[in-house]
Amino acid sequence: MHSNSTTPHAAHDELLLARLYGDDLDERDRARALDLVATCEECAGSFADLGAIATATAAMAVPPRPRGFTLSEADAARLRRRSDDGSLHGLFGWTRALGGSMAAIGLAGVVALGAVSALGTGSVVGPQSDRGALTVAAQAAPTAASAYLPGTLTAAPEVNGGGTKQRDATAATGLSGSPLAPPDSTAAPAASQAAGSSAASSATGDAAMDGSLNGPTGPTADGNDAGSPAPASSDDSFTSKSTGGGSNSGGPDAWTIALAGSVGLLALGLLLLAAPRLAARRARR
Amino acid sequence: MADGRVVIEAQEAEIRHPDDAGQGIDLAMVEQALRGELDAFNQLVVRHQDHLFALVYRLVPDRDQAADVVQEAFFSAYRNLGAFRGGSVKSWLGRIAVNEAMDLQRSRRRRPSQPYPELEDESWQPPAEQTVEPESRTLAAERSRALASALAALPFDQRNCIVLFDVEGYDYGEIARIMGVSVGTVKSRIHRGRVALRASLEPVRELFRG
Repeated sequence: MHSNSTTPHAAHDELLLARLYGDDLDERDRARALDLVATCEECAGSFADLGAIATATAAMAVPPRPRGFTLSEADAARLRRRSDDGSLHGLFGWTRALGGSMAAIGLAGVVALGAVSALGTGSVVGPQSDRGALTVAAQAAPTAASAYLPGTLTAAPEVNGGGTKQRDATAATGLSGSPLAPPDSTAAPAASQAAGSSAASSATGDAAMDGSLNGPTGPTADGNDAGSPAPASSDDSFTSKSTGGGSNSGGPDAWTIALAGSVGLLALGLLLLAAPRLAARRARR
Repeated sequence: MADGRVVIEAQEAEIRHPDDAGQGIDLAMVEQALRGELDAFNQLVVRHQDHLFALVYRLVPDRDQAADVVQEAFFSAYRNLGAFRGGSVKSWLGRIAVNEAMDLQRSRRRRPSQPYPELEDESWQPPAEQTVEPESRTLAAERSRALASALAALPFDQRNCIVLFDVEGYDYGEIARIMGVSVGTVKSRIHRGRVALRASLEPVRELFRG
């Protein structure tokens, strides 16, 4: 029964006694702790001490407070101002988060575009070379188109309207990346070769090939308007709307637009970040 | 004018039912303070400043720092009066004071200073009731000194838990919420703190035995 009388007190778990005092034991441990208290004199003394110390802590004397803590009018005014600032901060909390995100994305965009541009000037495979390929292809396209157009004109009556449209559009292959392939012309391959020769096969060349095989109707080359007096059927509207000029500058324009977008995002983000501070300063005045 | 009547009625009720009516007065004062009446807030301060100082003094072993913590707690309460969601004003103020004390303790951990400097001053005597025998008063003073010193030597996490449990009467769950830790952690801190306190007071254990 009194098993603990045989073991020294130093081997007894005092934490168990503290847990017993705090009523934080399961049945088994509780029985073990009660056994310790019942059989070990030192454990019983420790358990009594825990209670006495807890009671003394609650009754512990404290020195008188050194001063009163009432608020003066000046304190209240200062705290109200800080409270208003706090509300303003809460109100603009989302603005700061949004501004931070926008600025980060904008900055990343600017850096990435700058890096792309810098890499492009030194690398053959970089985006700059893609742009170069586009330019070369664009320069080659009018020639190809003019070489192809007579054939188109002769071939046009043989196919339906849609087919003519498609064939007219093929001259632009390699410019926009989405023209259709001519059934019997070398114009598109010429443009594709021009693109391919700039070693931009992955981007421009593939796009050109995809365009020539499957792509939707795209813009036609300049030569269409100049070289053909009147394409068969209703192709006028189509060819006049889609000129190669726009396609020629498509690559650089996209880069510029992306850069402008990034800069704009960065600026807007910074503005949103600064807005809460400006508003708080204004409110303080 | 109506607000004044509310307070008077609550004060009369406090005489009959001290706890409930005290809470009623507190709530009436909070309402008035929310309308911008600084006097109403200062009445709250007067009602609770002794209790808050006694609480914080046990957590922050320096009288001046404890006073600063209490002052900050009342500042914080005034600033966040609009965030009071009902319930016990006393507990709300206590939670604010405990949080302020914990902030101070965290900063003190970075810049340690002398704990309980007034314990070094032999002339300091804790207040005691006039009716108590001088011998008992001396014993109580010695016990308080020893206990204050032992409490100051505890890690502040354990000290906070013990004070909130033994002095303020919070349960494990409430302490866990105040301190932002799990109930298991609170229990562990209290038990370990008790064991450490007892070991620390071993040389003067007779002071606590009858």
